[in-house]
Amino acid sequence: MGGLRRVFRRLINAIHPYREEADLEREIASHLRLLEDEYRRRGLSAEDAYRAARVAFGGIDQARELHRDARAFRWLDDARRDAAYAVRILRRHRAATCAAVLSLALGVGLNAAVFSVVDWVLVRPLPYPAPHELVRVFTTGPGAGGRPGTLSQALIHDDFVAFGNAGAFRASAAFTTATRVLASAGIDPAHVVLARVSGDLFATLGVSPAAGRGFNSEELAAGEPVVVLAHHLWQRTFSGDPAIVGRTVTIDGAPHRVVGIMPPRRGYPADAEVWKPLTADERADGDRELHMVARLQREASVARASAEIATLARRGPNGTRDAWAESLQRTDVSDVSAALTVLFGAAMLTLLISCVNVAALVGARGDDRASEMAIRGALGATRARLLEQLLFESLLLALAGGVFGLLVGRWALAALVALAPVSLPRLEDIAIDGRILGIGLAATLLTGLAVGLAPGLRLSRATGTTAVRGHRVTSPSRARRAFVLAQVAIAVILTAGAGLLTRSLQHLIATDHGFAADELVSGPLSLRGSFDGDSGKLFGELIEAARTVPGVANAAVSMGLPTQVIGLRAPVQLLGEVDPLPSPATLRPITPGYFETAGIPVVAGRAFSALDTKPAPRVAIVNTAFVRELLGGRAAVGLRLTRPSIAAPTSIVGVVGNVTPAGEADRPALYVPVEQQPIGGGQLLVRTHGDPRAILAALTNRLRTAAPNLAMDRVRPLADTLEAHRAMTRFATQVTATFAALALLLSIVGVYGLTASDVGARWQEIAVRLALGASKGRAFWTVIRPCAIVLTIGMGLGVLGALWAAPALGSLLHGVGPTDVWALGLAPIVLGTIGAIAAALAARRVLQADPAATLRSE
Amino acid sequence: MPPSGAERTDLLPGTLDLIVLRTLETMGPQHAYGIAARIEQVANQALRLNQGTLYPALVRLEQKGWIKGAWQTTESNREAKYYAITRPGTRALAEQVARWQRSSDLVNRMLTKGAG
Repeated sequence: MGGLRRVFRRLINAIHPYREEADLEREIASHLRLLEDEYRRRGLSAEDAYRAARVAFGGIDQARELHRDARAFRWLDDARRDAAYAVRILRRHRAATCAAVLSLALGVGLNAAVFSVVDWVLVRPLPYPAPHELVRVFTTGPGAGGRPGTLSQALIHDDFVAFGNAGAFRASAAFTTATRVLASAGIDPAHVVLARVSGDLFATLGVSPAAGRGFNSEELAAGEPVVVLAHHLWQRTFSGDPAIVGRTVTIDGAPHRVVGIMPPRRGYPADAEVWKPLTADERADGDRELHMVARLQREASVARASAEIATLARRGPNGTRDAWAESLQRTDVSDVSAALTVLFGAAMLTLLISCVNVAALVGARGDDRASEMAIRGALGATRARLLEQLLFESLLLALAGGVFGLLVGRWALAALVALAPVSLPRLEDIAIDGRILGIGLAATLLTGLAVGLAPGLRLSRATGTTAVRGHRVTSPSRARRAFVLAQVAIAVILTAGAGLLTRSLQHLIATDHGFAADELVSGPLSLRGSFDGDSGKLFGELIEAARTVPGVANAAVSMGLPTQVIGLRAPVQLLGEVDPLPSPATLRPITPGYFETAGIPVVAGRAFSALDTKPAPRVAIVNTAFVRELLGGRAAVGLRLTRPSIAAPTSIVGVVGNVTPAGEADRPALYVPVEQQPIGGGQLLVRTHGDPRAILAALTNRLRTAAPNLAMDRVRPLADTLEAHRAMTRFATQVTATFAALALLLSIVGVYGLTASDVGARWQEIAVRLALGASKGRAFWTVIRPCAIVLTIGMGLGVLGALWAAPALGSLLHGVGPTDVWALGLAPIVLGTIGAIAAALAARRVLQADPAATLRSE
Repeated sequence: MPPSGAERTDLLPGTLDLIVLRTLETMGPQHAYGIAARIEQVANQALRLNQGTLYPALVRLEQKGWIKGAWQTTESNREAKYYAITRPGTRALAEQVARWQRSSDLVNRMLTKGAG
């Protein structure tokens, strides 16, 4: 009881010593006075009494120390005093402290932000029980219908059933996603991503709906029309109304009963908004469009599962296929892991630079403090105590940097998440939490130890007598030069990387799409289940409706968007020839006005017109890829084609340019009028005058009025679709550029500091030289030279490092090689120029020096 | 009071706290100098005591809550910190004395008979 109380009191005293210390002083003084009184009473002189009292009392300092030991914990008390001393020292060197803290704060902050993203996306296990057991199953080999020349990693239902029996799997499910229109009483029909599943997907994942239930085995077996909604869809579309469970919604016009609602951010695939069982017909369909998820047996490995299903795949009906399993998490992040790794690398390099900066600053101050340390050493401070003192300073610096860093980190993370492509997995989860705080703190303390220990060891060793003799300004140490050199090299690597990414992004932006994308709006027209009449007539009405909206230049309907080069494949044959053309063409039904609207040039012949109606002779337009690849460059206009499904011959009346969205190569295409090739749905394409965003609302409203049953929720600028292609590159570019700029700044600070120290250290020598008649220019060069050497070597190493590291950017680079001369050459030039300016600024006092005054002051 | 001649002993570790407590129990509230004077008087010069060494003992006892200090004025009109034994202190003293007695009895027995 008394013991515990005492521990507590000692702790308090160690942290807050002043009251007890003052009390002790007072008590000792009183004690001595009482002793003196006694001795005087015994007849001693005042002087003798004074002395005798102190003898009787014993060592006063010793008593103080013993008291201190007894009332507090000595180590804690020491630590407190070291900390207080460190604060004083840091405050005295305010500029250096601010620079160091700022350096660290930026380094730590940006790192924390990037680390949060990397951690959430790449490292953290998926939010399902035993997530390491979850795998995706892939097959490869001949694609749809077993046709040679096509590759597909998806499965048919028979594969799924076969693989599902593998001994390595405990549970499995398959799904396929598609965009469908969801409607219900009281809500606007809207497009949703529908996942149709076979097998118990939710049980495989180990997650169950938050409200209602999942699918039972009868519903799954019979493919009944029941759905489970994703949480965000339930919130957004049904305002989180729990009564929706049990009610009926329509999907593409067919009624479905809602049986459950998933918990927030649960369910697979991540973009699915509605799940429903696959129907028997859909299961029997031999198209390769299923994706398989499985849960491994507890003792099974991914490798074992892969081996097992590979055997099953070879034994299957079309035995040329191969199959393998892959961790679900790795599959989901495979597109982004390269980019994130690059960002993480950039962040680490920047942190390294800021550590180097802090180490240099602490080290530089260490040079000044060699004599202080020497004196303290001579007075009996142990080496451990001196080291402790220096460590305290750097830890304090690191801690301050870390605290500010986390503030910077919060802000940087918000910016990062805002910039990140929406396709980034788990984007909405990303936040700084205890785990990231913990790691950040650990990293910060490690940084503090690292930057404090090196100069600390050196200084505490230098307790010989030499340093005591006089305060000497020493030249920056070799270590510090190496630090700055490393900074310059790292900054060059980062700048080169940012340069490469910028060139790549430029390329993507400047890419010729083959059509003018900037002033285009597109919207899917999903007619299935919501429209039952003549689709051609509806398209005409919608085009007319769009044209009446102010700001609209033109409108057309096509089966696909010009951003997609893949589509329905149609075998074609030239009339009168025996063999079909070497490969099928992509069929692209369009309305007249499509080329004008999309901005695709007609290079020969004519475009479609209103006269190309159903009873009129069949016409088609081909693209230049068709002419080159299928006709061998022959003049196309006037040729006549036949297609297996269509009896009457088709005349080619025109040739148009290729579409090359994001630089993709176009396939041979056959454009046909929708009048002659009816389609059950498609895309509305609208060309605007000026910014398409300005008319988006008006256009959507007008279209809703024209066709109230159609979902018009995805009318959006086509540029957004193209932007999605380059979102990851843009993200990586922006973030890397930020890091490069920071690295540049920090290394310039390093260069400036180094030169300034050099000038300070050699000031006397320079003054003598100037007094002896050396020119100022020569003297200037003398102090600049060491820095110039560091800069040059640093730049050289940086370029080598960039050449070595650039291939890691691989998948992010488009239209630019990893050894691009522009990016690799510009980085050292930029850094060298700014570095030289910084060094010159630091050395400019040499040019203004008055040697006589300098010498007198010494 | 200065030392002279006779053989003098250092205290066994831990016993000073006990002696201080005992002194306070007998004498009532007392300042450090008073405690020191009393101990030296009772020890009759057989004890070597730097008065300053009382302070760690006092702070230990106070932190355990066994004594309590308060600033007062002496008869000679000097200020001094007077320590008084507390109720837990009295209880602890009884326990500690009993323990001390037991262990010193034991040590005595061992030293006089045990080794023989």
